[in-house]
Amino acid sequence: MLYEFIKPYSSIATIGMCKNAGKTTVLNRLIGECFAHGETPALTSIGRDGERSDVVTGTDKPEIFVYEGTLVATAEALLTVGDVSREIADTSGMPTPMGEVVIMRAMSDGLVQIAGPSMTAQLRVLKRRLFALGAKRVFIDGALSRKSLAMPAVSDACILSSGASYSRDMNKTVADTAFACELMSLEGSALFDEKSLECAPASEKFILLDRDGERVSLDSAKDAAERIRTQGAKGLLVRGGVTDSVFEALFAAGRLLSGMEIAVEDGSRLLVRAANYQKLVRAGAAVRALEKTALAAVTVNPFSAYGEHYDKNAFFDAVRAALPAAVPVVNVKEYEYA
Amino acid sequence: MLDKKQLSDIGFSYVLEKLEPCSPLGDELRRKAAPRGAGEAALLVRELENVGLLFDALSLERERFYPLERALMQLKDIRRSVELSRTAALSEVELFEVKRFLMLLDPLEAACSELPVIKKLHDISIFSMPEALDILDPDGMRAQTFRLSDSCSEELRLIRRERKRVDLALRALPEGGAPERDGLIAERTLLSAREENEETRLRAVMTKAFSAHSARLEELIGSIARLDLALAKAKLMLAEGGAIPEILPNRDAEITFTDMVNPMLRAALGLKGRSFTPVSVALSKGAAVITGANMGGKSVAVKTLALNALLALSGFPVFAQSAALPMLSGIHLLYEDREDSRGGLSSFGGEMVRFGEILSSVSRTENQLVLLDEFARGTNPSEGSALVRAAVRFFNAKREAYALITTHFDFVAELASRHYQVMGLKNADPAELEAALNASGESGSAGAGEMLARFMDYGLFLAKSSENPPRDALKICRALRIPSEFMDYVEENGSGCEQKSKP
Repeated sequence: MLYEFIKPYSSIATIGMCKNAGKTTVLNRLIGECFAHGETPALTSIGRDGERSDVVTGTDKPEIFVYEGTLVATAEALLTVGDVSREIADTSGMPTPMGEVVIMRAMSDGLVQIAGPSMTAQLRVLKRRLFALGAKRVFIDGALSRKSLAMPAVSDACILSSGASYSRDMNKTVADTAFACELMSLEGSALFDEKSLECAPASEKFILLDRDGERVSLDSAKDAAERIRTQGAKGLLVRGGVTDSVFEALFAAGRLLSGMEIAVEDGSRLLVRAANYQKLVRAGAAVRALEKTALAAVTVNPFSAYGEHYDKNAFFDAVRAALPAAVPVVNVKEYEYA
Repeated sequence: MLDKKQLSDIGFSYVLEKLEPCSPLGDELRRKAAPRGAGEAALLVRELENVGLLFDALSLERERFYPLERALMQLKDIRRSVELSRTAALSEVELFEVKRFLMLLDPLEAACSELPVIKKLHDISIFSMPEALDILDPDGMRAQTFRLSDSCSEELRLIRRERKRVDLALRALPEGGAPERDGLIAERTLLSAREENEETRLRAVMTKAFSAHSARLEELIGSIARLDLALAKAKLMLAEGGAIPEILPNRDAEITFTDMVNPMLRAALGLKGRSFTPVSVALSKGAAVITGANMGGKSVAVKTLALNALLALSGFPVFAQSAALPMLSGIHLLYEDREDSRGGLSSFGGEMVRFGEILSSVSRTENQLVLLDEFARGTNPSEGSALVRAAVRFFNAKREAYALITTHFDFVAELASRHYQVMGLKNADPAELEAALNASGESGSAGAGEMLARFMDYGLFLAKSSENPPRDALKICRALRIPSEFMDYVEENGSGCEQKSKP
């Protein structure tokens, strides 16, 4: 049933709120449902910096099950970790701690382990390559936490997995999941686009659009706030990660924030507390992303790897109630594929 | 020898950056570009001839080279895998890369055969290797992918057939639990391990057969790299202008460069709307001297000569109308480097340490080019002048090296075998200059500096050896709008040094 939600999108990223949130189960179900619909999707992942130790020591077991014909882009050292029979379709020239990213085609059904490139730009290139090799749909096994890497920017849609392993406190899990969803479904900017960043040097973190529509580059959030406070502005684009200190500095601009647009590259760049985000929204600023990505679905897993399970129905209902009605919520039943 | 910073300062690194080989093989050679040693004259001459031949062909029909460039662009660097194949079995990814490389040789060979010039090149021979490819692709499918085919061994074929049966059986199971499931999965794991083992064995056999071709393939890779780099040099010459230098067999022959330019400085000047004045120099063994106005381009002339001599010896076209030189065993360049702080020595101390190194190098090895820019400028004029005069006499007496020394000091040129001067403000009309400087007055001394540069003639000319450096320093100070209150003091105190007698 996940298939229905991802059907319109050609690239889908899976993102987990934490380990054991059910992300891998979701990916396996997606692959299985695509197979049932006669599709063999291509797979890759964004690098696993956070999990590197696991992967290097080999304690990760291959857990993604693919069908014959699936294209898989993964690090060379992981090719033999799985048990599929394969052919080498292409090499990418992209290095990882476990060797170059290689594209293989599964020549049998079986398990694979995936570690793709760690840079967003590389992932974009790789995605194009997978489409060129005949893939109709690409799944990107995303980072563990939305804070790790900019996922949405490279996929048309994402699926967020949340579960009891996130926190013992169900209310906290629900609130943080709702906030993550809000950030992942930011509206697209009306003032800025990808080009706004390209034509400014990378060192310029703050790009302000003043009341006359003129672009002004500023070094710090403090300078930006001062400029907004004294002269007003239409919008402010912040390059890269946006932390609480940036938001807190912007509050100094006071009531002139009202009606302004604050744009970020994508929702995953917002590394701010919900309280600060809501304060900015209450001040009348609209937070936008350069490119809108779709949140295809949210999956919930009431089972905790640490034993503190939630009540299955209560968790589902609480998440359902906390999210906009347009976002589908799915209960993922844990089950083994192999 | 020139260090990394000097290579960058004279513009050699800039020229290397401008070169764009199509393949990583050519690029590797580009990064290793260095002057040829004394025993490699014949090799250097052949290299330069290759560039000349390619340049002539490119100038006639640039677009005929596109297929060759496209073919080169596809190539990856597989030298490590080729080397490894002699001692160890290649992995599936390595075999993939080697197979793809061998397949790309066909279009490369085809592109070369369309270009008659390729056959004329020295030390370059491009061919395809179907015998080697047949080893990696025994079925002759020539697919872009790599997989050990079922036909490699009966064992492999049987394992894969079994595997297929198990896969289909697993697919046919109903979702959820089924009693046969665990057994089938265990069977799958076992078959997977057997397949891996058999593939490992077959890869070792395949690698061994392939390694018989490794020496020939390495030769070919060397040829491809040389062709790619020579083509890149010829394209650079087409874009930036230049000439193929003549390497003279007589080791005492004169070094001559006619109308040299320095592309890095030319580009920098171009950004300011100015152009680079070409310079010509001829040096015989012994010492030649350049004198002339401040800001007149003496240092630029020296760096431009260093660059072009280095390019010629490294098998590059030179940025000049023409050039001829014998093989040189080294190039030394000494100039004041404000960032150079060797062990806390003053700039003069640092300069002398390096000069000492140059002297000992010159006495060890003949036929070096020694370029000293504003030698001994950092000390007092009387001792400085003595040092420069000594240097000129030293190189003249030894006649083992080609030395070019720029200086402000008087009574140096008369000792030199040749004396060049920069034109400087010699031909500038004083009234015109004055008017222009007045007009630019509002922008201050920076604007005046720009204006002055426009009146400066950076050309070199051969001067009489008796002629002392021109007295332009005060003229330049005035032109740069140094406050007249100060200039009055200067005139009072006397530009009396002009009457100074010969030391």
